[in-house]
Amino acid sequence: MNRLLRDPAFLVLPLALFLLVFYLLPVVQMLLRSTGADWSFRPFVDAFSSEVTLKVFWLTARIAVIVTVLTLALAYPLAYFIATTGERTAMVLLALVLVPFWTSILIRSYAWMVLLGQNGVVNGFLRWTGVIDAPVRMLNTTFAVYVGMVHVLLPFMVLPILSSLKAIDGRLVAAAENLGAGPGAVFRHVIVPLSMPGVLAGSVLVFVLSLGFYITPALVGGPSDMTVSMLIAGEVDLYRWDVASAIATALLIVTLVTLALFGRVVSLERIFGGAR
Amino acid sequence: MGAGDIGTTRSRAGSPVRFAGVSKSFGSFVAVHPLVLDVKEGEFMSFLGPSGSGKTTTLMMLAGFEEPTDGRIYIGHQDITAVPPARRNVGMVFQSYALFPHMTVEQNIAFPLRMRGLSKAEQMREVGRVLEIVGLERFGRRFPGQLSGGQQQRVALARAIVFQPPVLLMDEPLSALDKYLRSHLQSEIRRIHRDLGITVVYVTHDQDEAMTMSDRICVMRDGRIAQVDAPEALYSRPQDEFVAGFLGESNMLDAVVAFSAERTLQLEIGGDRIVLPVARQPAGGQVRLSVRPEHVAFHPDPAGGATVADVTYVGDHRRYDLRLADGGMLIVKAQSTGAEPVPPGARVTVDWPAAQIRAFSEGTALQ
Repeated sequence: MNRLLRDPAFLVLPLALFLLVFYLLPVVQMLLRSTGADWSFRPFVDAFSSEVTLKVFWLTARIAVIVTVLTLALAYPLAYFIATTGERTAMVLLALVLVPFWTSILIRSYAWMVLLGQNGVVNGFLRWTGVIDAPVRMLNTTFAVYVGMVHVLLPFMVLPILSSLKAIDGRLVAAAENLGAGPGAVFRHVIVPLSMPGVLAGSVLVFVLSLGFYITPALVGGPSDMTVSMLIAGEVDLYRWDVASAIATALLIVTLVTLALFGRVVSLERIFGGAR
Repeated sequence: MGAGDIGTTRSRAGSPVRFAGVSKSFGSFVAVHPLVLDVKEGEFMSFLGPSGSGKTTTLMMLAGFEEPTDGRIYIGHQDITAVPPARRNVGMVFQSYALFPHMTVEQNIAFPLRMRGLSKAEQMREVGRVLEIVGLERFGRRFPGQLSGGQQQRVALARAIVFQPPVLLMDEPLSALDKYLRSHLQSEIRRIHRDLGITVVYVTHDQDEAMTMSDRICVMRDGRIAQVDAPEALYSRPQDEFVAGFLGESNMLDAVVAFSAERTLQLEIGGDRIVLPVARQPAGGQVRLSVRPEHVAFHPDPAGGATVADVTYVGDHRRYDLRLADGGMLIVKAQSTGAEPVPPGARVTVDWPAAQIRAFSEGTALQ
């Protein structure tokens, strides 16, 4: 017992137990359920014989890709500005990125409902400025899904890009200038390639998180904006546990395959290990 | 190796560099006081000084990374004070090498050529030429991370000369390397300088490096030039007390003026009297002398005023620590061949080499 206590590995025990009981066992249970009682994989057949399931998988993947691209397009310039501006401005901007990060997704999604609704702030403002006469339908559209998800996921893209931009040695920029590179060439040939690890890391995070998104699309999306998670929830509501498990397993496989593909490009350690 | 190519580049000799009253202040701190200096075309000029002497700031102003507070900088006939770094066309080797980690050696070296719009074929030809000059023909496809420090420094050098700039700047390029590699690269840099005829401005805090490599050395201190001269002149005829103490080993002694005529001073030093020819008179009755340990001699003398405090055998010479009659210490280097060492405690008389003693008053030389 004494020896056991001296081994630091024993400190991991509580967490390991917690994960075993509340994470690993349910996952195993889900996997077993999805195979059917007699290893017939009947739940998979049931799930994927429906055209809806395939369509929802396709829609979810499309949303994930578009959200990833939009997030990257917004996050890179922001991260670049934060990395290059003065310390005070950088701190304020970083706080603006992070504060929503610490707010519950539920609350942020409700906030978008208030903002985008028929009588919401955005419609009110547009009517006040005279851009539109009648309120435009924004809530419960695919547009709202993109807005909400990009907002929620932005920090996951900004932070890795910012950290890889900050890791770039300023002397490399000086060297490039000295060798004849103007501002555009420095950006293209030095900044962008050296920040790629951050871009890839952020993209994987956002893409994978998008695949499993539930609350935001459920609250602000329209009837056609169904994601895989919503499909699973629907099956659970119908007490079709086996089919729900099969769809969840399929989503898990898609996620793992995505991670494996990206892992070939950049090591996962680099993404999940934070720094550098 | 590539002698023909080097011959063609020799025609593109270096350009002169002129600092015309260039100064740099950071707030109320003056890093560089108005500096006037002409570097001749093809010259190897070193900026030597302790850290904080303004040598690096001066180099950064020449490279364009620091903007002078006042004054103009010329390369050739062109005023480059307001020209951005990218269009100054000066090569630069950074202390940290600053190689692009995501590019191969070839891509690193081709970078300045690519920025100048050369064709792929021309790029590869020039890259091959300079890889040969620095002896890295077989390393073109490697990434910088796969090279040793010395090899990385050669790549940095190749990248800085590949576009045939008229001026090459080097900021303590060898300080991160070990002693053996450093002396090897020193001679290599000298050879390249000689072959290319390029003007080199070299920053270092290592006096040996500056002495062995430079045509002229600009010794800096507290943001001002202490003295600019050829290494030998700096060593044997320092015009400045700081230079005398900073370059090489020197005994710095205080002496009292016993008698002064128009062109000579009679000085009292450690109980001895010496006569020095001078060009001007000192301010006050005291002067400071510098004398190199290898220029002083002594002989055993029971009636001598000095005693041997310590003797160290250093191979080709012996190093004596003498205590003078007034208690001051004097270091003497004596040839060790043939002679028996003078033992500690022996009384000796110092033979002062009047011709090689430098006298300073208020920091500047009297001779």
